[in-house]
Amino acid sequence: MIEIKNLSKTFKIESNKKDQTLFSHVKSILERKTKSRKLEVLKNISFNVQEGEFLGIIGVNGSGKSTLLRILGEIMQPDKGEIKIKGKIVPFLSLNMGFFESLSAKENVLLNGVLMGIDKHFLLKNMDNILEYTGLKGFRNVPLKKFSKGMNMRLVFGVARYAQGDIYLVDEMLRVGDKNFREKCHEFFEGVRKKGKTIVYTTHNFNDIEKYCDRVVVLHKGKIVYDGDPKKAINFYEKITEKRS
Amino acid sequence: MRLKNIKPTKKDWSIIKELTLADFKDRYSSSFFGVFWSFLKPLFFFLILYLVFSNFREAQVENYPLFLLLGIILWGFFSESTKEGMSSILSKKSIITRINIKKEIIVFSSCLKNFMTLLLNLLVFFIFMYFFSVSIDWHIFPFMILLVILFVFSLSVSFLLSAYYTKFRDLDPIWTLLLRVGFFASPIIYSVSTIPAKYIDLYFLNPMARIITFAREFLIYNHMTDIKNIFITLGITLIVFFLGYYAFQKRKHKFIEEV
Repeated sequence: MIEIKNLSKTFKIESNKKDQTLFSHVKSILERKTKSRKLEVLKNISFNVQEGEFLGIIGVNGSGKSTLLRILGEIMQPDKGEIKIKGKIVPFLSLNMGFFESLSAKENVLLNGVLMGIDKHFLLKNMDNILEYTGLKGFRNVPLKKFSKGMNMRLVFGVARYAQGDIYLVDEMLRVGDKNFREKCHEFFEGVRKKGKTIVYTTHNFNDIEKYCDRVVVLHKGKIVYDGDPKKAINFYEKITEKRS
Repeated sequence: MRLKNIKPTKKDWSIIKELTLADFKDRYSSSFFGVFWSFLKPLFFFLILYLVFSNFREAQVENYPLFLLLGIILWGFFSESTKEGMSSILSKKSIITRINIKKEIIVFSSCLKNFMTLLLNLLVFFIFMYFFSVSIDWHIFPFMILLVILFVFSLSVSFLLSAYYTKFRDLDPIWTLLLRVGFFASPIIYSVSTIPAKYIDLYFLNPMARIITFAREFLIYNHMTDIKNIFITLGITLIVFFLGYYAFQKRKHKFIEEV
């Protein structure tokens, strides 16, 4: 269960890369002017997610979806607001393994798994299953840099699905990869849902929303502009995007 | 500062272990010589410095090759681990933006990886000792304590640097420059006895000068320094540790927005 009250988050944006130096910092203090501007990403947001609920979050790019998920995943801290979370969070925030490129698939599976809180012995015991499931059995000792983006994603997903928890935070994941991979993702999240787990899912895809979500929150310019029935939420979202274009 | 959170949990330890090993393997699996690079680098540096400085008056020290090599190895660890520790948060961006992980773990495991290299280098040093007929005796135990202090000191400096590196990227060239100054401000190629007596207290405020000097006394000259000196070194290290750790705690919530 998730309870969020009056959540706000503001980012400081440096106007250019050169401002990220000690030199320019001292200079701006001496000149008494700040070069960074503020960007309010989330403004006073409140909502709840019930146990076992599949909540969709939609909104145009830059509406604050990913920031919200990162705050829920305790990766980022809000400036203001209260968050109450009951249950263990499992973050599915990015399918980019992207580090330790010269290490093998097996070594990366181990590291990723342990980072997600999965027991190392369990990973070693299930290594064949993981590689089989992702269709990468023949690539066990191949370094990650030889992998295509799709293979990389499959591998991350193959490990992450073993992470145990109560609340799944999913960022756009169901729409990546080829048809076969998407089907596997769908299968997995169907299974998670049937087990009565809670899922918070951000997406741009209406089919997924109608198919899965019990409830949808529409975010626009950092505010919740709609919270309720999925179909109505989609209509609401379409109106916003029409206005924009 | 909440010190009770400083102790790693069982899960933290397993992450530290995997991350350190992966980092270690990653560094050496991509080069032809592999792990031998970690030996070759200090050895080449040693050879160059030895050829240049062995005829200088300052180098008229008993067992100068061992003296020089140990200095290079210990300083090499400090220099590499603080440089990598500083940028560790940024280089592990793909982890911290995806998973809620204690940021301290990243800096710690970066230093630990370099510590593993240090231990390998020391093995080579022990082989050198054998050829120079210097034997290892019970002084190895205070030397081990000194190694732990060296690790904590490097970790502390890494905490301090990494706390600000995400915000101030020009810390990289600044720290590289300071390390170069530190190399000459520490007794690596010369002996402490060349420092004028009136400056010696000031000189020994530098923990690296202390660590390198005492390490040589323990390992090469089998001589036990005054225990008070070890405690002072530990004291300075702990002060730097609290400074670094405090800065890190203050800044760590900003990392995710700055990387």
